[in-house]
Amino acid sequence: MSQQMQARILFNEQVGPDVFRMVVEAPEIAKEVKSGQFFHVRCGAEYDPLLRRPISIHQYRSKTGELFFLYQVKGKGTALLSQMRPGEYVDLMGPLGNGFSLKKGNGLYVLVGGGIGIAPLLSVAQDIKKQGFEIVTLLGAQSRSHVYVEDDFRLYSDQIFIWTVDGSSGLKGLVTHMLPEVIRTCNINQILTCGPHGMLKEVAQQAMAANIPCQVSLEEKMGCGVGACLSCACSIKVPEDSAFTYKKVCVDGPVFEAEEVIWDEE
Amino acid sequence: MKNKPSLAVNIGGLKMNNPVMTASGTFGFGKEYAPYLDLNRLGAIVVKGTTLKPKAGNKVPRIAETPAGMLNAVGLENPGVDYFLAHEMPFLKQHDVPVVVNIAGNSAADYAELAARLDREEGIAALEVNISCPNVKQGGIAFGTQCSMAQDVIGAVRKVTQLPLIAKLSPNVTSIVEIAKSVEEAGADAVSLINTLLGMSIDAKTRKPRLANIVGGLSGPAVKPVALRMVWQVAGAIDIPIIGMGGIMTAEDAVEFLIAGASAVAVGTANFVNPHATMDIVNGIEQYLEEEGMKDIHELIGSLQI
Repeated sequence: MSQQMQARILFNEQVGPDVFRMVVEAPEIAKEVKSGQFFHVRCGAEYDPLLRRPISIHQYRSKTGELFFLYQVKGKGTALLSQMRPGEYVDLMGPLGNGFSLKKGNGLYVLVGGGIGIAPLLSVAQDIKKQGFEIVTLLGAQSRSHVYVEDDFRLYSDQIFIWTVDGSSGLKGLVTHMLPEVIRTCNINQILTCGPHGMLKEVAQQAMAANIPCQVSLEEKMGCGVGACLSCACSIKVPEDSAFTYKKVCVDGPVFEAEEVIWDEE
Repeated sequence: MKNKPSLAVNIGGLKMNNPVMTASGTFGFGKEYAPYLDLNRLGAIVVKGTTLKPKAGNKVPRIAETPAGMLNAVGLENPGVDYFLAHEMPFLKQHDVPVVVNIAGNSAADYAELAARLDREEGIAALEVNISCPNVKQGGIAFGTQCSMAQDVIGAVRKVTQLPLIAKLSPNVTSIVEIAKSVEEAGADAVSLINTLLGMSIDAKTRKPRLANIVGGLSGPAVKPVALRMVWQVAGAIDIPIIGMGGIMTAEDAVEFLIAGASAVAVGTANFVNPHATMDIVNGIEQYLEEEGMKDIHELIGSLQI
């Protein structure tokens, strides 16, 4: 069950121009977490910034009780988080959200990550590898300097392809360019993806067109993280007589099946 | 052993063991926060604003952080009263805590129909009549900014229920005192204030508003001085009790509202920051009374020294 705790920081290191990896000690929680879940992190003790920041689980190690977070400094909150030092304590609420659920089959898994959206996919890659399945990983970034934790992904991926928008590392273009070929040539159990909305939409549409199960991890501005404030609504296909038009990214997600999301809404 | 001070209050017939309530819309239907605190230790739970029919709410983004505060424009998303009674009320009934249902509508008749429906149900301790939501086009705030309309709504609800009636007031008015007086006259048993302050946030880079609804309601520590001032002004003008709210994060904040004349407080945005804020506040108020040598919270209520 989700709880609020003070977790001791073991590492908080910069791995990209604006990306950090934080490792905390949370032995009880590390046993319970699921890939794709997130923690709601308080980045400072003051009232500005006021709200917590949802940060997904990048890796967890049940044996050592460690939780890894990979986060991008985007504003005041994450900037404060990046200044925290090993030995200090960080206020966490979680684990929250549903997490990925792997669809069984005799094929392989395709991971598609863009930008900081690659964060939760490493944890899934570990899960998949533990079960002995093959993984094809496609990672997209703006440029060479924005390609980080690539080696960690190589550990678990049978094939990995890096795409950069400017071509400064790996292949040039958007990561989704490669997906049609992967879909055509591989026997795929499931596609798991996280990244910018446009990328998710493209991945989801390709997967749906090919009838391949696909789970997407969505992001939305959040308040409470527990389903109380209804800030993080996402449009979902629901029966007409349903009492709900939206689902909550925090508790109903952040992971959704590609086909339940309404992609075309502005 | 010394006797603990009494924290019990009676808000127009709503009896609570302590004065700490949750602010509507910030605590869901209670179950969302059950992992983090003992719901039975709350003075009362005020649930998410409820309407006759399900309401989809606004488009996203619905929330924007501001210095020491946040703007929201959720737009009263809720699954409707039938769903609430069938799916949310059973969980609440398992607890020993008063449940206050916040109601909203598009017309005085809507409010009355909703109140009549809830009046028949077991386990509802009071109704909070939301005449102050800034985020819906119809209803909500429109009823709370004109004395005659506020009176119409409260009067219509008063006719159909004996439940304690709390009118939730908007700060987005010329005189909150006048509105408070008119709902008192119309039969409200208590008032709660303040709802959020209408505000706006713009992204200078994109020149776009940060909320899809463009404007939204400001809450959090930033609004506390405004809320305190309004509670103090209203306390001097009406005889029914006040539930004070607006930026309460700590027990000290809550104590300030009680001193200003509120008989109870509601905790809202603080729940998002600290999920057991309400418990810390209950404990902190008790400690404050002990330290000040007060045996009863009523010694503190309205004790502003001028």
